[in-house]
Amino acid sequence: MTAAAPIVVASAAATSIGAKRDHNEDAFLADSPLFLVADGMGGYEAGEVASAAAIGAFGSLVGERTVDIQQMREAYRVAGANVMAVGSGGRQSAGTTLAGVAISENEGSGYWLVLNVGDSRIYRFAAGALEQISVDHSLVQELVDSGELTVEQASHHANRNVVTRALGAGIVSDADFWMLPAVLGDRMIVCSDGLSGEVGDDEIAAILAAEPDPATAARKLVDAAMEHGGRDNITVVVVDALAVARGGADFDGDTVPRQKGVA
Amino acid sequence: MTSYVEGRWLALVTARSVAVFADAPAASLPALADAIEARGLAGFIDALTEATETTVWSLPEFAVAIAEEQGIRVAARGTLTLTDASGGHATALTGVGVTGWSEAIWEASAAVVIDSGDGPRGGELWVVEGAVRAASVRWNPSAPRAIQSPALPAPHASPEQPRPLASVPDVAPTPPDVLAEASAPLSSAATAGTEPQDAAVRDSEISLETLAPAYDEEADGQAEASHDTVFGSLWGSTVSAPPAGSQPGPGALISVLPEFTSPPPPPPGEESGPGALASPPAPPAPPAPPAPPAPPTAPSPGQAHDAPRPVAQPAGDHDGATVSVAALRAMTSGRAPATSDDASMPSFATAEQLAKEGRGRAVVSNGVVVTLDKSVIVGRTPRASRVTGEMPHLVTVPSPTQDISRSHVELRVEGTAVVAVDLNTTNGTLVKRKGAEPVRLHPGEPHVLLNGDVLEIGDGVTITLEDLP
Repeated sequence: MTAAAPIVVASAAATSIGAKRDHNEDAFLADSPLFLVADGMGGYEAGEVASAAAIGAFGSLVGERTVDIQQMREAYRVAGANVMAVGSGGRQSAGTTLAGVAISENEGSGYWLVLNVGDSRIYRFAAGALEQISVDHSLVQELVDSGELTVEQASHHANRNVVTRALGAGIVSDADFWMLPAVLGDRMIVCSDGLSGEVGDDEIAAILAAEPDPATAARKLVDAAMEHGGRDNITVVVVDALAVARGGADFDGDTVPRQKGVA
Repeated sequence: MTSYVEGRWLALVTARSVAVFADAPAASLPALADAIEARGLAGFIDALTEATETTVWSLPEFAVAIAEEQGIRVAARGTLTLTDASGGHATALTGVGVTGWSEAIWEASAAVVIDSGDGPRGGELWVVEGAVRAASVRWNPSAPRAIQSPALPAPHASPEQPRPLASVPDVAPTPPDVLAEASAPLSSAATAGTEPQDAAVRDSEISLETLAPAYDEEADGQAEASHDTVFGSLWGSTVSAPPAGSQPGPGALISVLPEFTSPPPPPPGEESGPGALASPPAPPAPPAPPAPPAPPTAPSPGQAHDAPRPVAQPAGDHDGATVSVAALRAMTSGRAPATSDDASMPSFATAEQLAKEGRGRAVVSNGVVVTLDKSVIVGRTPRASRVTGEMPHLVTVPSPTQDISRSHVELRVEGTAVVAVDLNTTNGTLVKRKGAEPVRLHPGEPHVLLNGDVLEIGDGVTITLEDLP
């Protein structure tokens, strides 16, 4: 028997081919301690092979108590090799995004280890507020960063599906990683751009607030994307933190200013 | 001044360097000179690769000496030899038997002689700046110039201050704007369709990195680039540790081998540990693994804005307000900076110093001791965001009154310095230094730390810096 995981979770996933596509090139893994979504690209079945190949590299970590940064990097390296192998089989354009969250630990406390490459997304819904954790590796995100586009303009930009980093498609890019202290009640959402490209943050937050059950929440998010047109494959993974280990007797409230000003 | 004996090799002389190589198209020489002046050895390698239309692994033989902040960087590929006529370095540097090239840092007082071994074709001549045909070249960068010219500064100008090249247009290398280049064709392709959101566009998700060449982030680094920034990131160089007790600065032998192509590991015995190359000359390398056609790797575009800019000062800032870390250390310790005779040339701790002494550690008052082998974030519930490189240490400290912020202060290793950054906290961070008034950190601004500094972050929690180099 292994010790209890530092984050005990309930999770669910939902996926849909969408309304316009004839293949579902998304792949996902939602099995503790790993919750991942990959959005394949390349067409002619290369995309679905690539996304599945990337996700497959993480299968050996399923059932582990935690995943640390070294394990995550190693699996990511294997995922890159897997996707490149797909590409070398004649599908040069085969590539995929990869986004996900893993249960991890730091000094005895539960942490979310977050990974992202490409334009799939990780959000955290906590205390009624939706926070986008990942930063898209996309052309429009770079234009937003440089001040050339507003977020609103980016969401309608013709090139909003051009990714600047990916696994495969000729190159294996560096992934971004986060280590975030988990808080009881955290709800992590991993999704392909079939959700985030169709449904605004406010609507996503409203659905997550209204549906405590992760499976229902995931299903309703996919339904919402379909209602908005479902132009791409849609995959959503929802992970709820039911219990979180804390290494120290720390308080989680806001920092208290030393000298309170007079309001 | 540089003197030379006429011969068949090309010798390129710039304000702060001498390079000898087998051949390159004459039209490429101005660009080569620019590249050396702007980016030192990395620039030279890049430009020579381009000029000769080869890869890094099939470059022609070369020998180059470049005056830098730490001394004179010397590098040799092939049979050309570099010797120090001042006697400071008894051993010659050659690239014989080395897959890439041999490299070292010599004192600024070295008198560099590059010799091809060819017999002379004529007598000894001299050159200030330019390209000549030579069999051997002698360059003493620390010696005053015998020839004065209105275009040149006074003889005491220190070697690392590049003088303007009279004959060469002063074109600063600019990193290509990847986005701008890539977005133009993409935009036109996308707008060519009548319906920009149609299925064809949605279907063709493409990776920009397949379209745009990775650009060289170091291209604008210019004089602030030191070997542990440029070569650590670009070339995967291994820096050897000198025998204990050796002087910091000179003597480092850096051998650049194809270890950065990680998939084929180097054969056993090759380029293994610090001890392997401790004493020049480089041992003959075993048969090299097949040279991969690997261009110098550069960070992917997305990394650029993730990485904090180093705090290293550009060479040549002599307004008196800028000090090097070494000078700062010296000021507070009351001893002279560990440097060469030239007091205007403060040196940084060298890579071998770091290898020997480690990077020091942070001792947190809750009993946690962290080695500063990578960044450290200390706070009530610390988090690390959008990391592409090493994941920082996350150190949780108790804060019963919630005086301390979740992520309060970050200690970053930047080159040879350790800096503290207050992470925009509610209650701030105080740095206490012996013999100085406590300093409150400006939120978000790096502050260089010295050995013995104590950070106070609230609720009685302190972080003491120990054994910093």
